[in-house]
Amino acid sequence: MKLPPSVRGPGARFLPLALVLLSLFFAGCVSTNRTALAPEASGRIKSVKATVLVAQPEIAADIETSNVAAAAGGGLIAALVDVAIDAHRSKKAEEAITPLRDALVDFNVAECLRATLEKGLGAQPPLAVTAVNLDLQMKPDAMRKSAETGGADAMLFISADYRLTPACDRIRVMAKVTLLPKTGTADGKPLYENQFTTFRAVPSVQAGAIQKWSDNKGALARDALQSCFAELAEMIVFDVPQGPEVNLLPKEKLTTSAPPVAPAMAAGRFIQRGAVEKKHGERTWVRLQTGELSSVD
Amino acid sequence: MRGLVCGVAGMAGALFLGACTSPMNLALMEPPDPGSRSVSRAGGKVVSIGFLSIEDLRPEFSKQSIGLVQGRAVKGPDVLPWIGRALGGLGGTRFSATPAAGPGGWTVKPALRQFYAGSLTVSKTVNVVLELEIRPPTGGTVTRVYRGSITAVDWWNTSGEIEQSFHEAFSGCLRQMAADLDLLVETASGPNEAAHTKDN
Repeated sequence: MKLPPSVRGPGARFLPLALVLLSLFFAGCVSTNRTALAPEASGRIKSVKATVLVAQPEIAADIETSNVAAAAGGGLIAALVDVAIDAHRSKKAEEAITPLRDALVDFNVAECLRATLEKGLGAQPPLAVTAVNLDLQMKPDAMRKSAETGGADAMLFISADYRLTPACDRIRVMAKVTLLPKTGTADGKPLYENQFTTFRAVPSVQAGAIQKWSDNKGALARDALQSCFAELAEMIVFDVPQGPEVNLLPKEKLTTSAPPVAPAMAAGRFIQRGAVEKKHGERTWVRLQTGELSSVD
Repeated sequence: MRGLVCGVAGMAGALFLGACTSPMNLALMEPPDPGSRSVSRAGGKVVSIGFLSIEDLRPEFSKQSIGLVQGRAVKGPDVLPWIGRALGGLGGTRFSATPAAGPGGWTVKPALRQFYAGSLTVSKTVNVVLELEIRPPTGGTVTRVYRGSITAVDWWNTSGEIEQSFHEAFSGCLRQMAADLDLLVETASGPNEAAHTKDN
């Protein structure tokens, strides 16, 4: 690779090598998002309190973000085009979701999430959650302080997000779950951590999904949210005792585009491969390559 | 060379602002103009509507924060007095707000349902939702929900920008209320009264 004299500098000879190393680094970059609960730590925990962290008072909208800049190989003009497209889509999505928000105006979603998780997580080994509280989103330092003063051996933080997918045909609930000990671990890491996704689709609809969700004071949406929250609790109870072997799936266990993995990937932001973990009633739980658990129908 | 320096400075500025995660504190000093000037243009009979004190029906955790925009918490003073002041000055072509209900007159019990800012990709979103329990002198109760919302590009992610969006969203809410109350008063006053008003 010959560089023009104008860009040659003292380190120019290492540039090709750096590019090769960088491409290798990104090609092999699959890291786990899951921290498994060690058996010895599990044995020490006698009491757990949980806190649901919510950042949204109402159901959120979502859009497919524009990728003009990525497709064009970067550049300021392409980035500005992305901003304009995303802003337009955001405005449309916010307008579209308004009837559903109005239908749910008297529905305290956060309290429903809290109560459903309290019921689902209550006294389920190995967590044995005794109480679930609601709080605003916290930064990691605040979470550690809260765990220290929480009055239990460990504190389970459930950072939840619920939104309508860009096509308005699904309600998706995502949660990041973090278990922190009362006294800090030696390496400062949580005892357990993972992310969960579940969703419910509006039945048989090609158009007018918002109307279906909103009809009858949002009855369908209320049921969908409650059902997602209940399943979230079940997924947490299932996942916490799983060992570190599921953190990164070996390649031979991964499916590619075969159902039922494909619908989950299309509905969420996680465009990843996964493997069927468990059949749960009419739903299938898929373990993503990075250890996250996703539920599909 | 100069262009390069400007570009680098711009990128550094963007990175600096992008990394800014300190809370935004809103002042919420003057409430938006509720549009009471339209009363004088109406000409017809103007009904006094007694607005009772506003009730806070937001979920408990929503009262602690009024939003999170691009990772920055939005904080502010108690919003109820700010909203209450604007409602106290509300007026339309057929009504004007008064602090207390007169005997046998119209009464409105306002309640705050939502008051928050959020973000969606590059945009900021602000929603203000108020519920009015309207009691006409003829009896019965009508409950209406009014939502003012703004979605726009979050250019600077500053408190001033977010506060302006709250003003605009709340103004939208007030306009809907005024139009709706006008219609209710006109409907309740009957066709004779409406015709009389037109004659004037």
